Amino acid sequence: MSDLDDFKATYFDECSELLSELEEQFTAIEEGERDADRLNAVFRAIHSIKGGAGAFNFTGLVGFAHEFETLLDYVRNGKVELTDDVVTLCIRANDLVADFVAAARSGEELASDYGAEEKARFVALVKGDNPDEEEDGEPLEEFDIEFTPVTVDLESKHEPAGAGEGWMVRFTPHAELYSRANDPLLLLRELAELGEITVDAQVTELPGLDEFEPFGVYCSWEVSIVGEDLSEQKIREVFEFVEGDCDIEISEGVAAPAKDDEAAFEEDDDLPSFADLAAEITPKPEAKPPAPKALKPSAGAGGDHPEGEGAGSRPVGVQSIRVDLDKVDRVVNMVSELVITQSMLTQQMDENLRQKYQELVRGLEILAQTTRGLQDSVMAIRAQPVKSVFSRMPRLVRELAGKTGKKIKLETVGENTEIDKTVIEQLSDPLTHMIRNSADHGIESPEKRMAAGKAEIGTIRLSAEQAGGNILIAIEDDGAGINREKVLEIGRERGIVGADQQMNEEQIDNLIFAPGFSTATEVSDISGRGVGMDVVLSNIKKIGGSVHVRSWPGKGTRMTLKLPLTLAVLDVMLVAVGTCPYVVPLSSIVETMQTARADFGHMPTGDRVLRVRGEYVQVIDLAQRFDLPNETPEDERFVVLCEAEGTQKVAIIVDEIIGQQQVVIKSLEENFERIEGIAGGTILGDGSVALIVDVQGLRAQTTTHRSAA
Amino acid sequence: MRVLTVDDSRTILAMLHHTLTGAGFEVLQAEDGQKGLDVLKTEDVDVVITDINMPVMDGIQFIKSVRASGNYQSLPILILTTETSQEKRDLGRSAGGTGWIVKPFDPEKLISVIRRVVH
Amino acid sequence: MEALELRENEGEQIAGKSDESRSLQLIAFSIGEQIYGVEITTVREIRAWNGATPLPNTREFVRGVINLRGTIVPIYDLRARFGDGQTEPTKNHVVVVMSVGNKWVGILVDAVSDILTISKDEIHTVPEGNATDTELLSGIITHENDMVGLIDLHAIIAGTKDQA
Repeated sequence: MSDLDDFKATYFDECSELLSELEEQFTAIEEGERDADRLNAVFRAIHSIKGGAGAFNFTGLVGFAHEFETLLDYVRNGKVELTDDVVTLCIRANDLVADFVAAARSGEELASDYGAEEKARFVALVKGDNPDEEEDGEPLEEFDIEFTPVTVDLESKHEPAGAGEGWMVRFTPHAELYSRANDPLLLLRELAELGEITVDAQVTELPGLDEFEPFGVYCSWEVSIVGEDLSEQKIREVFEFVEGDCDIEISEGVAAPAKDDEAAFEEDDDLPSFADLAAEITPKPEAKPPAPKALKPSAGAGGDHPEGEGAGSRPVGVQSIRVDLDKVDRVVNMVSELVITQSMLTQQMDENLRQKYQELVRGLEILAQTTRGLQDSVMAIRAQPVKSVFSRMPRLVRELAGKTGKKIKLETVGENTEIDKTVIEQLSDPLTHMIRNSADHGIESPEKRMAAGKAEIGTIRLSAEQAGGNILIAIEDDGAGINREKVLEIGRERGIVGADQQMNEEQIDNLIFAPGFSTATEVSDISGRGVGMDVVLSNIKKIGGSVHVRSWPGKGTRMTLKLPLTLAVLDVMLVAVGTCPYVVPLSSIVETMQTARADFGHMPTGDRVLRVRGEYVQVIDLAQRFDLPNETPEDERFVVLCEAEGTQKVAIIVDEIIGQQQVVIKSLEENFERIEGIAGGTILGDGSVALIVDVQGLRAQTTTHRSAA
Repeated sequence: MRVLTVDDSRTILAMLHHTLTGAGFEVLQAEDGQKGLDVLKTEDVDVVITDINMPVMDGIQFIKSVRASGNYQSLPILILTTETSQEKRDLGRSAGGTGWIVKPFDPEKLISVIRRVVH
Repeated sequence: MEALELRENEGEQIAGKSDESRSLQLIAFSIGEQIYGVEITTVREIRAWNGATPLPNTREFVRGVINLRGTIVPIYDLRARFGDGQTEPTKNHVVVVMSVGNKWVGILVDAVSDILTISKDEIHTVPEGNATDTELLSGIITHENDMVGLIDLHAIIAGTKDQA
């Protein structure tokens, strides 16, 4: 059923938000911030997860969350002391809740005793502190109600019951009943649903008007009911909400049904409309309201709150809306186009035009401002705090610490830094990988750390900050640092570094990002899995970012990710290859120079290389590679020096450098297919299409060409 | 008939919305007690369904505030909660709650409970 | 007029009023003397040739890509596709934009000549012989003494990568 699927989707969305909040709260709690607000927030989050889970019949999750919630309730009420052990248990439990949610989402079955140990500990803690107290949580059977939305016809009237046993109810409300907005009329109406009723109102207590208190209680009722399957319990249920707010006497088989309503009410001629109402149960707005209500100020059938006109639901009190990301993306794309059109327009204005059309220039300036503002606002819609990714990391670190037997604590800084949602989505895998790497290779065992005079517990620090148009994310550890000798040795072994190639420290450090590199001699369970840090790099490159690593032997390692604020707009250099426009992402460009001033050399293979600051860089002539006619004299062409993988550079030869601009990335694959060396297309101000050079792809292609040769 | 639903869980709000609109009610939503009060400042409703555990302003405080505001003494307020313990219910009732609904709710039961407290 | 927009939605297509299941409307276009046709429902737009950005390392019949209201659409040179060398396009040449599956593609032709209403019964199978024709055509019809080749669009857009 699609409605149910929709609800489930909403529920799982909500769960991931709640779980990420929980992770954050527990991190603070672990660090000693154990104030009531946090405990309440944690309780509420688990409570919400359980509530939804019940509706979908996720019994495993409900069962576990229920016990966890009970413990949390005891904790927040101070009935169970929040010792470090309890905190550890709660954090563990939180991970289990995440597992239960994940299992519910994927439909997979967890072992029936999954989390049983923790559950037993919750119960023991709760019971242990309150040995006399019975478990006061609700019985779990109540969660077996499956949610099946139905349409209920409110107009349907209960058929008058045939002959059956008779019951007598004596009902005397207290003042409290009215103060909670309960209404005797409604109770009588509900009684009428159980069978045929006869109502006798006792109004002898009614004072004269001069003594009348609007909120006073002067009436009581005697109701006789005849219906099938009646029981005291059924009648009591009607009065469920007013228990304690009235006197109720229920007895069986007292009165026979009075066939003649008039006869039953002959003493109460002054209140005929009430009798009608109560007996017929159909509320008549035009009918005179019953006595007790009629005397209240502004009472009446919905008097305070007249029924809304029309059923159209108005958005009221809603501070936020949920929108499909697709819709936002469409707006983002269009705004990006607008920004580019606007900047093209501005570029068209030469000095001559500026002098001549000053009003137009002013208009364009305002347009530029407004467009920029519009772009910022639109991007802000899609921006999210990196918290959503950071919050997954504490669990990872705990697991890694558990597996490696190391002691590791994670510090996070700047989790509120906002990045475009599309970038955030791409961030989780690289971060996971880098943290695995730090835990696996960086942080030493407690013994080694102690021996080196370091704190027993290693620290991994995850931080985010905005710097200009970029977001910097750093992963630092206070571990052993990169073992450069070993890295260089492996680099040479695997042919990544030439036998006589000299490398400086930084270059060696960055070798860990080279394809096919892995420092663990044995592929470890943690960072291994056949892929290395090169995957991190290519993922980050894909979103227009870069990775950099610095290491200090014995002190630690810092890996820095530089990411664009958004993926929608790319800063590029516009170049010409032959007569065709191409763009190169600015983020990958190191420098540009004229070919005349470049220091070219030739490898023994005949391949051309560029010498830059003592480094030999592979040269790719784009016109040649793309088979485009070019008539530019060799010396008047340009070299665009780009960074491909890690420190691997590549020099691209183009025929002309036209300028820098922002472009919107368009897919080639949407209507065509992937082309090696091309990352996509974009539309220039004159409406023509320019292709985006895929620097990394070009280099990879060359490598395969060469190895094939 | 207009129903104001107050709950911090989007799942619960969505389910209430579905069930209630299916029964022909008009549904207004708020994410916590404070937002619920804001809605009541400008909108007339026939019945309120509120959660107890919510951030910013919980259900108990919300009910108290509604009852204290003068215009809403006879507005039925149903407490929507998984807490079936007598303690929670009493808390809700003494704050001025009219009745309660146990989560997860059976749609038919939900409608019948609303009918029990609304004209 | 630069471009003639036919329709945005496939659903709006109206076939011949009588006996719609048996009849078919074609857009006919010419390459030199030869006439080809595609079913009108697949055609999205017809526009004058206004250049295209070449795609590297593709075969000669892929003329490049154009910007169609913000979307990048590849252009296939139909003459080159049939092995008769690349068209030397002028402003008078025409690009017929069509949807094939969920992709939009344009084919470069000399001119759009007509809209034909034909009966499905008139469609003949392509005679064996010319391998390219059998590969790229889904049928042949005779219309007023002209032979019209029905283009198989899926075949046209296959095999674009430079094999050399």
